[in-house]
Amino acid sequence: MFITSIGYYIPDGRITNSDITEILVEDNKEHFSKEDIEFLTYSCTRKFEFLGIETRSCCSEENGDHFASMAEKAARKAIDQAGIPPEEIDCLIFSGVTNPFREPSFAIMLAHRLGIKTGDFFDINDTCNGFMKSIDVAGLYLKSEKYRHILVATCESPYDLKNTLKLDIHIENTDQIDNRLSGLIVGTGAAAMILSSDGGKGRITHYGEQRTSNDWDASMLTLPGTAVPGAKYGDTITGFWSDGRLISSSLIREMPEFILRKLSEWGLDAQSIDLFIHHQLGNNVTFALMDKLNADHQKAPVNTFKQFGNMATVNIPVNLAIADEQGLIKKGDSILLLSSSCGLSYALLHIVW
Amino acid sequence: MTFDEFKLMVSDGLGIDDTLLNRDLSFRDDLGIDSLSVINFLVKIEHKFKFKFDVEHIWAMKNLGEIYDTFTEALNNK
Repeated sequence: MFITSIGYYIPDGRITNSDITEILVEDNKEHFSKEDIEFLTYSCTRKFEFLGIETRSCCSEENGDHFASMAEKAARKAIDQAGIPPEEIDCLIFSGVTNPFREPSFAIMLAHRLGIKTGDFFDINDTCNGFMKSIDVAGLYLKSEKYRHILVATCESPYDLKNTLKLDIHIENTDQIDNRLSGLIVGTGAAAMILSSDGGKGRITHYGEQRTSNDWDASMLTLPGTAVPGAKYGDTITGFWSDGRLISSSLIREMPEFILRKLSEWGLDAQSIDLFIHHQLGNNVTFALMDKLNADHQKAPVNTFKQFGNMATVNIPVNLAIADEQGLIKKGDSILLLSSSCGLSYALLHIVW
Repeated sequence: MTFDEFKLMVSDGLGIDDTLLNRDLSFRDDLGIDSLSVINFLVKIEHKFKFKFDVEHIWAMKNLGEIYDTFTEALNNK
């Protein structure tokens, strides 16, 4: 399976750290004391600084961006770059976590907008690992020779979803902010990739994943008021909740061992990898992971978290495309894409460029 | 503040038995403390003592002894 092209789109709107803390204060000022609000503001601001985030990408009113338009822009770039006519694309797989479509699939609407009249079009949800999982699924179709060209696409627009579902950031006490922090560092963008059975600039050699279900509720985003008996945040969930402490500690503890085991199975080692592209949770997480792999920090040079935030499924393809644009990838380079997502799941994809 | 007093503050803030703490311990590698909990602890210290750690420096600090030295230096320079 080959990567024929990658397209992406990041809207030019930005939400600053102070914008976010203002929203947080607005949503909680009625039930907190002045001292609590003052601590909440200070604590959030400093946590953002420690995590290394300055702004989050978001749709701008000037450009009229929205979920569908951003996904279309990224997909068109991938199609144009590949030089493949839309009618030759056999399948479209869409994977955004913040996909607002329940009926029909977003994929079928996107296919229509792109002029792909017939084919296999469907959505999948594998949280932040959705794009990598799409590639895994596409690989099965390409390997079986059922399809020749597959478009995998994704888009994230968390602030639109927040507005649509009217989700505030209500917390009961100042410590509870840690269960909301993940929702305050999210960003907006779209990405798409054409995968083909032959040709292309990157050959995907291996994909591996590890899933455990014990911490299924580590992070939750449901329709408002969804009944979820036994979930750690209550029996009904409204808004975006996550256990950042559990996620970050599990990731640093479990993911390196998984990566090293998979690399060994594939006859590779961490030192032979030229470029690491990691899911964007800040450089302190990426570098802690690199340290555990005994890999040079300079091999993970692309950090979009500072400017765009965590764009969930969009992070990895965007960062790979940026690395290519910036000339950071040479022919023959060994590239490792590292994905972590809630469930908890870890995924690894190896490419030879 | 002495190192023993600092240890009690760490013990209280992160819920760790203070007899386990010494200058050479790493939060992440030896105690398995996640980065968000460490950030929480540092932010509470900052807010209580009215100073700021250097963000770039904080991730380079390898053990409790270095955090204590940075903390006392910041307090003295306040």
